[in-house]
Amino acid sequence: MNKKITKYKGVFNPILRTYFLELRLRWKRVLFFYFTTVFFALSYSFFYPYHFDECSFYRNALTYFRIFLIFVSCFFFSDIVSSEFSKKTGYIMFPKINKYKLFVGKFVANLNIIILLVILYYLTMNFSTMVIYDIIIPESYLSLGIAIIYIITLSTLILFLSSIMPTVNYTTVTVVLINLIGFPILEQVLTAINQEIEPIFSLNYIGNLINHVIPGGLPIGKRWIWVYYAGDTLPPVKVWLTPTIEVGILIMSFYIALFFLFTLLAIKRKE
Amino acid sequence: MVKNKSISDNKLNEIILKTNNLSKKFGKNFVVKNLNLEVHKGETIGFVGPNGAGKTTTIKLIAKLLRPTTGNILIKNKRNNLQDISVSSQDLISMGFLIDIPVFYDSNPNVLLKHYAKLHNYPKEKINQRIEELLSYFNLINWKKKRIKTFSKGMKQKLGFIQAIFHDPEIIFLDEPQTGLDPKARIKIRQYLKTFKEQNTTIFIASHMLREISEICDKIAFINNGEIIKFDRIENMEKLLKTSEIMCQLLEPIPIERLELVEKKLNEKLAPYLDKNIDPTIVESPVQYQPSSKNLTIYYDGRPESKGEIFKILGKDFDSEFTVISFSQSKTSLLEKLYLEKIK
Repeated sequence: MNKKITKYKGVFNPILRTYFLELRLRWKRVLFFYFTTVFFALSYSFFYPYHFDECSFYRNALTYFRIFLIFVSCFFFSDIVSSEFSKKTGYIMFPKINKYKLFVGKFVANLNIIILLVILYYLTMNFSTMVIYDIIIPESYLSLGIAIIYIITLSTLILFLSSIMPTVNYTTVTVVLINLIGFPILEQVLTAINQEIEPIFSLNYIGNLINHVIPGGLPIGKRWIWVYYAGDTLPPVKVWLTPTIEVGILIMSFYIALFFLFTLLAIKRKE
Repeated sequence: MVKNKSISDNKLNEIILKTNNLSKKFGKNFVVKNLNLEVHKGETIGFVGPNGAGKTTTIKLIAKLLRPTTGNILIKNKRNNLQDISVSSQDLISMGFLIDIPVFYDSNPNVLLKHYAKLHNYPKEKINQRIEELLSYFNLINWKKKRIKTFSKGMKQKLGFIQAIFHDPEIIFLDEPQTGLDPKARIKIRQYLKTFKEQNTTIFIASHMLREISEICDKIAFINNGEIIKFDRIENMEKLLKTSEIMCQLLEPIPIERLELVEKKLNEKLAPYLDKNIDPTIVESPVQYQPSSKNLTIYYDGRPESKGEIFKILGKDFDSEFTVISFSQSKTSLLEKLYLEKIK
């Protein structure tokens, strides 16, 4: 029994130590982004009047927040692996701690920071909805759950890119390009090629779930038909709006596993 | 007493690190090639070679920062067996590494040293005391809570040395530990290493600084193009070179007008004992005088009898020419010669 406890201590102690050091090293950045998040939520709530009801108010806030999240995630995850190699901090750390335990400790610490940031945003938004509309939207909790899975997926993607990119800047630019330009363009291309294929590969498409689970948003798991009245020359265009919640979660879980596996291989390759 | 000696001898014979045909290839080039090395407990090994010889790569392979292309590295574990580190790094004896110029996380020495100590399972109650002790010794105590970002290169190097030795490792690997250090810090590091040596700690130093190597190391491995050219005790290397030197410090300089005459007389009188096989590309003449330092260097054949005769002749036949105030035998210059001879 004692042997088992010692063994577990040997595995978890270095991860825990790294976790706490990472929190300590990040505290200024954490404070800045937490403050920015609350400021962003409150500014939107009280100085942006273009919403009809509590649901559209909430949905719009989440649309902006998704873009904000991509940038914030880059600040926390893009240097986890690459800096240990490119800045050579790993030369001191790797002989002291198994590199996988080091990365797990750092990843979990940053993930906790960013999940708390997401929760903070939802809490602020719920507070605002309560003040403005005197109601809390129950679906906001469902949206929060999806947002947390989404941010885990995004963070594993950044972790993977961080393990193959030479520097933090390359990682950040690639993440932003993939999410804000790459995925939307690919969706359009796929629609042009074959409208029947659902773009479930796209994190952008899956991310639509976050704001559209709030009532009054796009119909979940359905398609819309855009009909262009440009004579009979153009056929109506079917557009995929969001996946179903189940498919969304499944794909994100698949991505999480895939990116972890790729990260593992990339780190091995670095040796 | 005899019993103690045998224990200590046994300990010295104990292999603590072994590499078997260790090779590392980057692209098509072998940076380390079939490296076979045995390091015994308590030995201090100097790893000497030119830039790109494979010194740092070897240390990185041992630190598992790189994976060998072929071969393996065995390090003693806590159960006293040699363990292949590619299979498992658990239960290995404690090791300390200083690789390259150290780069730290953006924090202060106090936070980071505490973190490193905890990772090494250093006794909690002793951590603060150890930090104070080491930072004070290396004159960094006033910088204990300052951001490492603001440190000079030498200060970072000192901190790098501290993190490598903090937990009193059984084997220490240092890659160019003197880089960027001022003379005082170099001496302190040398002194600290000597203390470790007395405690039977195994030390592995890669360096260009032959003076440091000669003062600390028992054995030297000359490495070039990824291969060990020679690995032996310093004394054996001297024998291999078949030459030894005596440095005489003179009280007064030899007058310039008498210099040629004195040199001629020295060559004549000491001729039977001088090294006749010295390489003129390495040493111009077996008797050399440096007026600026008032140093007379004599390269003799290495026999102790010859050394005794040289001392007698210098005292008897040259007392009217100069007064010798001290004799010394520098290992450094010998090493330099060896280095030049081995690494061409």
